[in-house]
Amino acid sequence: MSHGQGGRLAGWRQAAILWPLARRGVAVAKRRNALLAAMVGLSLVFYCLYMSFLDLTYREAAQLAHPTSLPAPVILVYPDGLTPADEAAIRSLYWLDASLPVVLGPAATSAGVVDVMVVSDAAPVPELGTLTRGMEPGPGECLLPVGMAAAIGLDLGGELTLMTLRQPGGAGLEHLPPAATVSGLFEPRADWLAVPLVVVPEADFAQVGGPTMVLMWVAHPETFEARAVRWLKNRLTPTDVGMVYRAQRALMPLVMLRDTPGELMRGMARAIYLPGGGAMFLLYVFFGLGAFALMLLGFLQRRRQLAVMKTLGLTSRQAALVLYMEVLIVAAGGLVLGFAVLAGSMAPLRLVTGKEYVLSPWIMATGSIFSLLALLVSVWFPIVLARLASVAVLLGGQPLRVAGYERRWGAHADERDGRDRTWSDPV
Amino acid sequence: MISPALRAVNLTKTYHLNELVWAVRNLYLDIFVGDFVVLTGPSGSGKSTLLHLLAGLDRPIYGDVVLEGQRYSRLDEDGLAQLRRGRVGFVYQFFNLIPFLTAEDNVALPLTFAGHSHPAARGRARELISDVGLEGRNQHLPAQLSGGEQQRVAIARALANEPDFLMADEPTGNLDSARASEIAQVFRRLNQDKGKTIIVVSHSEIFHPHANRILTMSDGRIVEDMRL
Repeated sequence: MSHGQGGRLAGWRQAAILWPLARRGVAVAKRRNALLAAMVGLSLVFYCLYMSFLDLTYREAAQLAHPTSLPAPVILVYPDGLTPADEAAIRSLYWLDASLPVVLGPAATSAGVVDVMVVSDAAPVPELGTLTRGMEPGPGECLLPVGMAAAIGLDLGGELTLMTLRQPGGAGLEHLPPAATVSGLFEPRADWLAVPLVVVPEADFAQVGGPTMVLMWVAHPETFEARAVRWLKNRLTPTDVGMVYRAQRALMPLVMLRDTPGELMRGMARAIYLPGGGAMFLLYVFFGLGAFALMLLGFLQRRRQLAVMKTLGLTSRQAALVLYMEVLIVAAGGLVLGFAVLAGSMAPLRLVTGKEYVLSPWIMATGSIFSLLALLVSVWFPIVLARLASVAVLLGGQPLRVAGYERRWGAHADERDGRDRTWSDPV
Repeated sequence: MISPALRAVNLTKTYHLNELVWAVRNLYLDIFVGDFVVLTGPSGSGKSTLLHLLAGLDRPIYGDVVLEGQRYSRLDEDGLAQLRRGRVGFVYQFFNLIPFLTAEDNVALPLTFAGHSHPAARGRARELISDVGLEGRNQHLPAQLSGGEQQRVAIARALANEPDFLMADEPTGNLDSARASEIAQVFRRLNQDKGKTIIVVSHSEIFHPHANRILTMSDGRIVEDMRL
């Protein structure tokens, strides 16, 4: 009979040999594993609902936005600020820091999804720069910076299309003017204004209810520039300004993120805090953590069994195989349950909300992976235990610590003559 | 000169309970092939700790154990597990059978870990169960077996990979005298008929008639080494 070949066997053969043990391990704790499977399933359900929710909102946004070759965002500057109702509507679309008088986000124009800035200022042009050609805008007209006009090929009398952009978590402003004719061009007076701008008169805004979003500034003229520069330095670097929102990619979740880590985090925060989506995200996290905790608890309760199996020759690799197989058995049940719940809930959800929620393969695949993640992570701890802790430690007779020799030479010298000895230096 | 099969060199182990406890202190020990060694002594004298150290179930803070040339200090936990799998069978006082596996599957475990297919392992397990006198009980769960029967299953499990060494920690400590006597006979047969080297920790003298060496421990030291 051959001994000790277990460690050298191929992984699949080891798995085949250890499969019955894993199956029994799952079968013996039916109630716990059923609860675990339910948690995995619910975690999948809420993850998929959350992603489907995001997917829908961004698809709606993307449908309204056209791809653009314009590298910079368009900024709409409004004189005299927004009406309270419009400002509330704008703010409701975003998770805002109330301490900042700024709303940041994308808006749809014929040049693509862009940032919008709204400034409360009675005399916008002197604040912005010098009017070089044309005149101040009237109803249905706008001002453009010289550089931007050249970039998008618009001159005096040209027309810039503007479109409502619905944002995740709410309806967009309904009254954006469909188009604005270029009435004048101006030379920006400060560096931070050396980006494309569209200046639309307040009359238009009052009529149409404001742009959909989403860079808004409400400030007094005397502090306007200083605050704008400070804010832009903090929040909108030239590199950021030059980037195109990913919102233009259909079916891409988290599309409102910019390509910088800071913007990514802000975008994620917005996505998480969105009503509905946030609730689903939290439920996903709750059930994911629940599954993790339950699995880990189960393993800790079986610490003694792990010790006995190690006594009999179980290696950490074999322990990992058994544990992963147990996890996969439970997770398979959970995923089947989760997909069944999802299949049954999508039609009622569409009916109630009137929205076309879609479970794309991408969402289902990532949902499965993320739902499994908590369980797979929970397996690491017992695997590390199996690898590092001695049997005596696992049996509970000693504090839980990693096994190892403490070669404190001289600390435990041989009592017969006070000399240190190793096995190679026997008496 | 015959070299020892199992050697402990300057073996030292302490525990930090309320105070520092020297479980095994600067201990030297040579055990030869075919020995039947009984470790005895009062509670807390370090018998079980020494046995765990000899089986590689625990790590000393100092010193080393060498089993037929293999130094435990050079092996990681997986290395020790593989060494035990083939060379050392271990029997606990409280049997430590896996409760959700049948007697047969419990005995088949070490074979499974050694890479034997499930049918082959079960076939061999049935033979071993039969060898310890439990024919017809192989499909019983541990809870359906008496203490003596569970200990027999544990012994069969320890012998599954035909190890040269069989170590047992108070194997009769949880049994009545009749069952204890039966277990002692099983150990005797394994030593005399199959040549296994046996190290048994025991409070009682039930193994003494079968042993060729009785080590008495006190305060982590061997205070008497009686060769019979």
